[in-house]
Amino acid sequence: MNRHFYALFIGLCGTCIFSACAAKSEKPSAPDATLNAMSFEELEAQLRQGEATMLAVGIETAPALAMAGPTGSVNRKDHAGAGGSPGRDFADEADSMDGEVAPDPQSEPAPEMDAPASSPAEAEVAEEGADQDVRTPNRRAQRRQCENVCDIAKTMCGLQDRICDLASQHPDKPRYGQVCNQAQGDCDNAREACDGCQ
Amino acid sequence: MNTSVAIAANRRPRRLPAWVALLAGLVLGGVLMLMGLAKAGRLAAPPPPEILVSLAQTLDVEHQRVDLLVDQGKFDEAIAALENLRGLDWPTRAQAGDAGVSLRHDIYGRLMRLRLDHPKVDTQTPDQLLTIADEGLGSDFQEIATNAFTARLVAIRGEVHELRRDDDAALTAYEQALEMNRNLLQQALADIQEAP
Repeated sequence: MNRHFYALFIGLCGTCIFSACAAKSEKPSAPDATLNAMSFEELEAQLRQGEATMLAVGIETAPALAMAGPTGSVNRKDHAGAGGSPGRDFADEADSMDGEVAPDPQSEPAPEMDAPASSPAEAEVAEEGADQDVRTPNRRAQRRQCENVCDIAKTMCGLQDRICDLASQHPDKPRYGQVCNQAQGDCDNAREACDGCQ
Repeated sequence: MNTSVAIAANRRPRRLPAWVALLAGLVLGGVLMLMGLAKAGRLAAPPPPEILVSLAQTLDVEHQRVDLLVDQGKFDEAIAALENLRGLDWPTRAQAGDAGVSLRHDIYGRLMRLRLDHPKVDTQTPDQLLTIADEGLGSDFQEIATNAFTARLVAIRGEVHELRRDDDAALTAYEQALEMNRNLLQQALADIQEAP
């Protein structure tokens, strides 16, 4: 009986380890070229249509702006409150889905590679400049990630305010106090993460 | 007598070999794994990207329009624009995946935020507001991947419960939203650590 139990146990463990490894090594599959080409054409057509609509209502668009998702980099003024402001960029998801990276409309033009520096000092400066160009997208991405953390912190602290307001109206119910304490801890942690990120 | 004892001894159930139990374990583990993957929605075919992309673009344009209307102080028109989107034939989770559902949560969240911030425009009762929030959230909002849009709509639902003076339900909603935001924060911090 014991032998069988151990064998069953080993079998279960083996399957779990296998599925865990399979889940860990899962990578995004290579994009289907035909599908990509198709969706890109459709994408362009829809993009043009969207731009036309926006122009009709008086908004000028950068071509790639329409690629940004519903949140994009748009600052919506009606998004304040306990609900917070979702900071996720759907463009990222669209990128990962199509396997292509949308061009950043605000990115600086690439340095001209075929213009040689005339002196060693200029060459050094040019090298530093090129180095900065490489680092700039990273920095921008980091800044965006920090903004995301701070947005979440703001939302969590807004929720804490609401929860603790409710708790003050129900001093006789311990659950309210517990959730309020938890929310305060969450708000503090999130605020620390935001401060540490900037 | 001795013969009957010998027969009884021969009738003792044969012990299964260990490899049968091992195989049973593997099969059971496999079935459990498949059930887990199916529950997590990992077995379903990915939704066609065209649906999601065209939906996201449509909503993006509408968001820009609403931005403009809000900037101009035309809250009634902004609410009407979002109400129009409410009437969309929203794709199901099977058609557009979790991202499709979260896009719906985004639109409903924005509509609810505007309605709560401008209660005199096209006034709705708290019960009507709750109906809108529930309609937007749908029944499967807890099953989709955590995202900021869903978290916001859940928190807004808490505000509506407060308006209805149902503080217990409000607290539950805020607690849910807090948990979602906790997960989002962990994800965001993990992303920062993973960044080069």
